[in-house]
Amino acid sequence: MTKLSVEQAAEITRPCLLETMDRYSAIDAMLVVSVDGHMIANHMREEKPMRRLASMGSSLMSLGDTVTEELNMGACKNVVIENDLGHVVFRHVNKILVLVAVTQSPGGLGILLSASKSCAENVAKNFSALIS
Amino acid sequence: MTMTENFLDLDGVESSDIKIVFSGPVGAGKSQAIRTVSDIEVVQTDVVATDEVQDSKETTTVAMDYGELQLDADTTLALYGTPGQERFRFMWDILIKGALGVVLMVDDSAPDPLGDLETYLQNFSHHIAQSTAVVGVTHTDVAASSGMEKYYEYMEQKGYFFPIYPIDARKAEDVNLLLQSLTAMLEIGG
Ligand SMILES: Nc1nc2c(ncn2[C@@H]2O[C@H](COP(=O)(O)OP(=O)(O)OP(=O)(O)O)[C@@H](O)[C@H]2O)c(=O)[nH]1
Ligand SMILES: [Mg+2]
Repeated sequence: MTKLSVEQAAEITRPCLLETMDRYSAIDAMLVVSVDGHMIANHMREEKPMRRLASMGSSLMSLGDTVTEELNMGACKNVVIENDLGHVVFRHVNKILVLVAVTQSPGGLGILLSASKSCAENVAKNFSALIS
Repeated sequence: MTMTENFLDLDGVESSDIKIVFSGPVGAGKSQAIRTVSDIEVVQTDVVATDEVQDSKETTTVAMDYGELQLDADTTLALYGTPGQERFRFMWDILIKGALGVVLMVDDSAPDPLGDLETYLQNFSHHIAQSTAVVGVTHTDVAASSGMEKYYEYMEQKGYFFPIYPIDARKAEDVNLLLQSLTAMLEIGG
């Protein structure tokens, strides 16, 4: 199987993040991280340090999967964190990647969920086209 | 009463559970050790490793391991494993809360096991000072190096007075040795 470097993976991922965030102004940051917590690519309206969030993304996604499995509830689709000042969504892109998306808009959760779903699907498509 | 005030007094609830945290560098055998001795099916959060870790093993822990070991009729050890990699340091701080003992594991076949030991002893020093610790040195069967002497010297030189054993995380008797020596110290201390 072809293995990609971080740079190659970032190149495949970044356009999807840019496209999604161009389309939806309510989304403030998106990152794609590896399941074991490395930053692959990110895009945000306001530069902020995101390395720690990348690792937290993989921990949280994995805990989501663990809870889902504990309860025998199929596959974990999203982990959502609802805050005073916005929402954060975590979802699987594929076996190796996790998408983290942030909105600070009140009422932005709907857009966040649907946009992150289609974004994750696009990223997954780009990867499977390349790796298969 | 303010929101920050503790309004619970759960004395007696699950009081027989002793929380033990396994920590140490990637590949030392923390997840394996918990798997080896747990009475229950372990909760694990291992995922595919995408970095140089994949050269030595397929998966790595990203949140926590959890297992339980019943010591006797009224004592159960709650065994928590941390991720090994430094980028998951935030999980170390979460998992160490309320732990009564720390099992540090280092991989003798790693490039710098004493440096690893130093890193983890330092990181948990505050906690270890208030509780207790044991050290398990794994992979001595495959390490090129020269046995346990350097560890004993290191511990003595640094003034750490807790037990250190060569162990194999795949062997129940070895992991039990660590846990027994830890709980023995807890009994004396508490
Ligand atoms: N040869 C040998 N193998 C061992 C020994 N102890 C543990 N192992 C193996 O080494 C590997 C350790 O892997 P894990 O238990 O996943 O390591 P970990 O400390 O949980 O690592 P992270 O979660 O990635 O930080 C397992 O495959 C064990 O079976 C030992 O003493 N000798
Ligand atoms: Mg592990």
